[in-house]
Amino acid sequence: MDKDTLIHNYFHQTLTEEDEVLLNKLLESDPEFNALFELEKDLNAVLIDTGKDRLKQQFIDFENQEPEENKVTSSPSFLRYAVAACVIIGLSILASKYFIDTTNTDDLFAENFTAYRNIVVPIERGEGIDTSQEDAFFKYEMKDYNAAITGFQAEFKKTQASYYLFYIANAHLALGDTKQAIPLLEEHQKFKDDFYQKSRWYLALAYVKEKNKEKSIALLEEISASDGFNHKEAKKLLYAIR
Amino acid sequence: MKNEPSITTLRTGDPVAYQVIYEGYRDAFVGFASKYDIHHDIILDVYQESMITLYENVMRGKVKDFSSSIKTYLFGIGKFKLYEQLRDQKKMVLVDDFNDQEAMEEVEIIELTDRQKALKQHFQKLGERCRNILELFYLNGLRIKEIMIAADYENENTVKAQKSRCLKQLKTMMNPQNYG
Repeated sequence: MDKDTLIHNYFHQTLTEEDEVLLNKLLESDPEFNALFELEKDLNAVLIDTGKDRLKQQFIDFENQEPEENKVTSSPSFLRYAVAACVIIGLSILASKYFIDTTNTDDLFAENFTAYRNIVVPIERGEGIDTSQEDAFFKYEMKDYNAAITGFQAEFKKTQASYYLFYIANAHLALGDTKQAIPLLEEHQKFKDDFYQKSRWYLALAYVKEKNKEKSIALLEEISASDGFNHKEAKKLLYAIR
Repeated sequence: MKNEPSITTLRTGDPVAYQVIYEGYRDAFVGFASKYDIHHDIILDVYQESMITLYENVMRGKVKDFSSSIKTYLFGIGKFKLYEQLRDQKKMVLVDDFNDQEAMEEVEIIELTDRQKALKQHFQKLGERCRNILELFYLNGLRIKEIMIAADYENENTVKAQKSRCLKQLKTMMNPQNYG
């Protein structure tokens, strides 16, 4: 077994008893290896600590986008929603009048876009990639979007599963190619699958980037009036494109 | 939650897997904690901290397997943290609700040593490619071959050479006496 595999197994808790004996022997007999191992252990602790910071931020972001009625402290009231709806309608009228063609929609897109995470097939890293579907999603997770698109297209051809359209579109958006993404998302809308709400948000975002005034506002209005995915972000985006 | 993520997935630090757990048990935890006189924001804070403890214990190898379920383990930690919160606020509680010795042992706060804090700063100064390869190997648990595919390296030897260069760079940035 080479040293990299031994170290990998140590950090990912898959050392066999035999490996453990080998590792201890190396640590005793090779001072250079021993010193490097100390650095690697510290690095592992540092990376876990960084992971904690990221995870905490991820949870905070999630709470910030939770629909109001899911929160225990808030008491939903019809009046509040009615007022909110009026504000949205008012804003949309303003928006349609004053949408400025010179708005930097590329920046708005960049601020609002994050490729939707893989929730189709869990990739167990370190366990190997067994299927072509896992391979495609693994590439997507690793931000190798061109390769992911090729993989997803092949999977779509095989299975006709509609969510591939959503993920292919997301990969195109991540590459900044809204022109390829829009028809795919429009097509995906017809399937009304589990990704339908999410797909509408990404489509609205793509319309914004393309400066498609009419379609982006109409769709953002619908999303922000709903309790669906990213409805709060949709409201903010409506403000921004006024 | 019908299918909890496996311990193998959790060990890779996969943020999606932790998010699935977070969303899956959030409402149940908030429901439980709401019996007590604690502000909703504090309950959420306690829940998030419990998730972070779960992450840390899994990543550091403190948890090898969950004896019953992730939910039981997570709630054990969460209840203990709630108890601490209530005790700090000098509020009365039913001790039975929080009588979980096992959880108390799981809630150990681990701080970085001074050397690790310095290393954390130096790590941030590395180039993106270096940070990426080290993270994939030491945090996410990708094997050399998987890194080759994920980060688009030519072959496995290039990955090994690059990883070794990055580590040496980090060692040089630290006072070399620190690591022999």
